[in-house]
Amino acid sequence: MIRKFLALAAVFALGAHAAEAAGIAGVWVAISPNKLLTTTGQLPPLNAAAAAQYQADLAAAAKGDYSWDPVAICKPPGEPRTMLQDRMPFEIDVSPARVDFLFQWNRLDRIIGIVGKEPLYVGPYYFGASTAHWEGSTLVASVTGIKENTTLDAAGLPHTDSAVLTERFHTINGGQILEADIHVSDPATYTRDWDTKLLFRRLPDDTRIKEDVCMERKNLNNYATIYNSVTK
Amino acid sequence: MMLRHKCCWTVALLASCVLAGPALAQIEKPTESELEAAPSQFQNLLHGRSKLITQTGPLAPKPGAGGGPPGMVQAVPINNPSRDPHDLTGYWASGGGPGGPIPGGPGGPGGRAGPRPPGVVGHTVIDANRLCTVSLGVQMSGARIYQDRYKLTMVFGNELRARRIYFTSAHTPNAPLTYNGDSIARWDGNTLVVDTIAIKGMITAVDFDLENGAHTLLLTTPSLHVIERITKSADGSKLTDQATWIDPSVTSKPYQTTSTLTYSADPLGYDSECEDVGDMFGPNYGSAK
Repeated sequence: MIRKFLALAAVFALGAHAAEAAGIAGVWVAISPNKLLTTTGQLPPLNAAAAAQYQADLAAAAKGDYSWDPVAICKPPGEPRTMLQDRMPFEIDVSPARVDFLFQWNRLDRIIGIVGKEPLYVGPYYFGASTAHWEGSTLVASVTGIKENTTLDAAGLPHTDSAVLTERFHTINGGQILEADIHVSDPATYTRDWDTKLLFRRLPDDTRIKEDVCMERKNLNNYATIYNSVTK
Repeated sequence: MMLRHKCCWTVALLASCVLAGPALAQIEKPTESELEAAPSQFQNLLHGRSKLITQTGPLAPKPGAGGGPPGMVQAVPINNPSRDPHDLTGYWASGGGPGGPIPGGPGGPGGRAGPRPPGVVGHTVIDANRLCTVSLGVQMSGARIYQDRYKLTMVFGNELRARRIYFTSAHTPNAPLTYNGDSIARWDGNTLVVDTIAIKGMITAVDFDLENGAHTLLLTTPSLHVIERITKSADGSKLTDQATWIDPSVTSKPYQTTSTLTYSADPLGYDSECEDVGDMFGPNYGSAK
């Protein structure tokens, strides 16, 4: 009996190892909420000016005013928020040269270059400029130049375009959970560096990512409206 | 008559004009003066579109401060391509290749426009690129292809939007209309046969000629049916996509386009910021702080 249990445990362990060795490629959906807290469960350490802005945006949102949030008009949510946005799935594809995060949300694509050196920096961009390397099966990405008009989460955590994110992506639980450990350094916004952890659940490999067109979903494009009216 | 929408260059390449009436338009390469006349926020994009640079070096200044074109665009050395004809993974750069004439369309044999397709009512059609989506087909531009047992995922070089082709024998029942359509594929020997239906009406580029900076735009409709035959060369270095476009509401008979793509170093690409380009057009755009 014990031998059978040990054998099953060994099989399970081997399976888990194989799954984790397969790495971060696959289709994922957020488990974590779209409101970042530090790894100790605290609100990130905003400085006074940033805290005032954050509270003002929260108050506006409570009244249904999202004019502070470009996502309301379909601008890319930025990083790391896009991974959490509306709990839409995303596909991670891995090649020797790059890693693509292909989001269902408005069909956005975040490219992480595996180049072993700093990218030619230009921007800022919605996803910033990412360069990464592998530490075993962990993808370690450094992100700079993220547009200031994005926020780190849906609650409106601000940042400047001088922020540097260091993200470590790896799987746990036999490859079924993707863990993103994110270190945020932005002295212009936060009184000290802070860390957060995001979790994502693996979806079946044959999951189909739907075609999401944000402007149509939000009925923001008159031409789409006109088109639909004349073709129905 | 072959229309020339030179004035719409910025729109054409970045978000493409909304065309009124005719179903076809030829887009010309921009002149330097047109590039200079483009709004400042698009000049960088235009230049970025004009060429993908492949260089390394120190951090460049930001655009607007005398900086260079946008993008983290280091070319990555490539391995030899796989010779497995069923393995299409890799980065495939556009190798150009002329498309065939479009029967029944302006400039094609017969020289007469086909029946007015649906979607032109009121001289208004939707251009998919206005919604920051790509048009059909790998012939549009270079593409990175990922492949697993369930699907091919094509990530295009320009708009950075993905198209997925599923290895299955039947289309999705009552598939909703989408910009990429419902694409399924099977192997016919060493050729991947891709069948696509349920495509939203839109204007799509069917012949993208990088060398001459021009491409042909065709209005497609939800009745469009595209059959692609994608074949890899014996040495693994070339990918040929022969597409047959069947849309009786637009053209008098099916027509074909052929594109050749070359296994290449991955330029990595850049954040296209298509949504910002949309600020030029969308009545509800432009209010972001």
